[in-house]
Amino acid sequence: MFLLVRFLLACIVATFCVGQAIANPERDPNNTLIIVGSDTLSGLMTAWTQEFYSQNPAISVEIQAVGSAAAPPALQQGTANMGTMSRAMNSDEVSAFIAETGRQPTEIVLAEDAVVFITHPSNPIEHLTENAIARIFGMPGTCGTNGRITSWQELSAAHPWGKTRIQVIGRTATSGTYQYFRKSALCGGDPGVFINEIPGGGGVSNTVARLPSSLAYSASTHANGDIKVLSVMDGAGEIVSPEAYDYPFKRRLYLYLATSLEDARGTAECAFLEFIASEAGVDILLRSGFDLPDEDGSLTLVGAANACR
Amino acid sequence: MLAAKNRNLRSILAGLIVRLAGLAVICALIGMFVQMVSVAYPILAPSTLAPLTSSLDDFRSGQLLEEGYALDATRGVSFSVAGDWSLEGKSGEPWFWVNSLTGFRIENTDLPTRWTAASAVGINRGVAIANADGLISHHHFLASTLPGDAPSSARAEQIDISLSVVSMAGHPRLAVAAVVSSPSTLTIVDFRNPQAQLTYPLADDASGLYWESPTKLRVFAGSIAEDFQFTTTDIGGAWSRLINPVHYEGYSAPNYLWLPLPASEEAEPKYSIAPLLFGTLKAASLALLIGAPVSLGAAIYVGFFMSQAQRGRIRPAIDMLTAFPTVVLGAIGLFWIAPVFETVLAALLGVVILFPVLITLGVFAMRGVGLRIVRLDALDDWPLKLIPLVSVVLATSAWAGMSVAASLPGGSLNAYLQQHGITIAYFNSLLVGLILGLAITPTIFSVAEEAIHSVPKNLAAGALALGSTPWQSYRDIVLPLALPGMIAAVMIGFGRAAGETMILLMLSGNTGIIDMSVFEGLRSVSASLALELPEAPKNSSHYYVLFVMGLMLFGVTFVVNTLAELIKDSVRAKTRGG
Repeated sequence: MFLLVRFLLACIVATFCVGQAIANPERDPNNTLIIVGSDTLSGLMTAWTQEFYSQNPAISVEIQAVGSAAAPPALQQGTANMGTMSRAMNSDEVSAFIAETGRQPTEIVLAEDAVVFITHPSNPIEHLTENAIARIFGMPGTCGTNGRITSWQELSAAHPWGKTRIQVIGRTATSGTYQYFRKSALCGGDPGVFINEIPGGGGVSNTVARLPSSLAYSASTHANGDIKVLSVMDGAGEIVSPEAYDYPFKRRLYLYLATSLEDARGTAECAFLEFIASEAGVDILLRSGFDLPDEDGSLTLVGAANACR
Repeated sequence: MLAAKNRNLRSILAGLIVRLAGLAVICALIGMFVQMVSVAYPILAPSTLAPLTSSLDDFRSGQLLEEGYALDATRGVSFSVAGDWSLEGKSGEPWFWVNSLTGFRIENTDLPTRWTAASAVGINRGVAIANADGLISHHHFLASTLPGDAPSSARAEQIDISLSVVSMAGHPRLAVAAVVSSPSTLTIVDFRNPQAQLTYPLADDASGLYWESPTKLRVFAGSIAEDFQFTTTDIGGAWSRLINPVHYEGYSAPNYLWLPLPASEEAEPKYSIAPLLFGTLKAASLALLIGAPVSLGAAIYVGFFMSQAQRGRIRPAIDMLTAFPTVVLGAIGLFWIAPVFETVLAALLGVVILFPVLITLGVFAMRGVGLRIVRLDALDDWPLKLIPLVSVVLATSAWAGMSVAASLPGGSLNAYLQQHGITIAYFNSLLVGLILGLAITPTIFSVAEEAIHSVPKNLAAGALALGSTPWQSYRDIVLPLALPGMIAAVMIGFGRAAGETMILLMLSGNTGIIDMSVFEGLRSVSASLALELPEAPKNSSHYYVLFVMGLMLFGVTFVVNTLAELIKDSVRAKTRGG
């Protein structure tokens, strides 16, 4: 009995110590960077972090890739220094941030990628029309279209799979890809409740790779060799591949800072920004499948790195 | 003496620790419940309207009218709708859909022609129209399903505030409108919750108003601007919107939709929890349908017909399965069963139909040739003897099912069903039911077997001694006493299935549809919590609704399990007394 009591006491003390250690980590705020946000950008952030760490071993970087919606609250509550998002912050998120901190969040356009439509490699289909996308993925009547497309035959009369059902796969509502997809491909309408929701872009790709009759939307960076990326026929009847500059579902990816760049001078944030804007950083960005955004006056990586100096 | 003292101290200490542990568990349970209620409560809170102190003076309302914030009934209004269409109206004249490209004008006869104020509600989503008597109607736009055709409008709600409306401003996001009326009143009408009107008396007659942000309203009275803080949830305090069908914007009829869209500004968030409750019930019922007969059968066999020694070996083995991680079962379903679901289904149908027939024939055939492997008159059969026969019969009936499916017109079960208009979703309810049924089998078995086994042996022995067969003594003596315990077992199985998350997350497809077909997917409450709770913004309506659902799940499993425990207890009392 006495042993048991001692054991229990030891357990309680140990739990308390571990709890203390987790709650109050010995961290130098200037040397720790916590980045919270987009799942789409997680691969790029990891690649950047590894290279950054080899150059700046004094600064430790933590990445939490839960979804774009997680970034604004984390920045607001100060649990993250940087937030990555696969969409811009909306006005509610910005006003909540201002209300909490009294500051404007700093928005940096990080990169560009595309939302692509993917299917199993054995599927003979090559492209989708914008009308078909709305009829496959949207609630009935989305974008002023008439009737849902549920089988491969309805999508293309000559399709060898005939009446086989299109297994429609998509992301969950908290993903930035989902939000962007709604706005751009579904005219802001509702995605069908019949879409199979798979958590994570990697999960979507893996499911499509296993399932011949599937069709999904995903971020282009999650596309791999096991799946087939489809082209899109735009309103003018032109078939555009996701690599083309006029692909209709290209989007910008953002990096948010809780402070202004002037205040960030000399901190870990600025060191990281300067690294990712450097030649090595841009090289990683391009190798990860992202593009550099077009210049249009918004704050880009180079601009942010210059403001840091 | 010292030893005795020590012993005393130890037993006091032990008693204290045990009591503390018990108390801690009870407190934790109550605390959890209270915490969840307090988190979920704000979703039921009504909307509020409060004046802000930082009012702006010296703001000329004339300037406001110039800027077009207040809309003028006599000059006419125009609201942009989807595509190139806009809606134009002038009081006393009919409303028109106008195409900005082609110049087409199509009359909209659904809207009232006599009005004093009209305002857009949401961006390009709908319009609120008020007349001088205070009758305010909300119409939302429906996109045309024919390209190039004009949109249409559907009236969702009509509210009578019985005051003379001066000006009105529709909320930029929600189906809410702020109205200033004569004499000097500000009213917030909520089309989502028509009974909940908020009124606020103004110092002076107001001339106009607008929403500065979704939470801030600015009202102009004379030369003074007064600001108001408007707080609301996405359901406006109308909890019936969670359960009842709702006429959502852009839809022609009321329906159930779970589309939370947490970061969207253009669309109305939709929080019908009915599809999720339906999904949970559907999955749990299918799991019971598949798991209960098997596990109850096994429980009867092990609990009554098996000898003590054999039971001692079998029961711990099955009990151990209770601890089998459901994520592994989910993975088995995902990687092994789902890809060959069609074949599994054919084999399963074969087994369900042919197995009982074939096993009976098999047993009698073997008895016919003198192989008495099953002694129907004995209590302690060893099932190992049955394994060869059972496996042969299982394989035969599964094979028969698969070959019948292959010989169907169309060449496969899938093709045959397709010809009859049934297509199978890859992630479907039957797949979920199958794996979930497997997951709850050890639980049901454990509880039911315990109930059967705890019936005093001397009762059954007495019946056997008086000449009844083992089956008769089971049916007439043991079953009536064990039945409540078996029902409790099924209820606990149901509770387990309703709360199960991982299998549903991996296999159900998470499609929020209400469809009775077992070949369609489903979305359960538990999977929705797992998918959305980590990312739902804290203190958003989405977050609250998720906690309401968590609370419901907690409540259902708590009630079901408590009832089951009560039933079990009553049985224990009965058998002890008997």
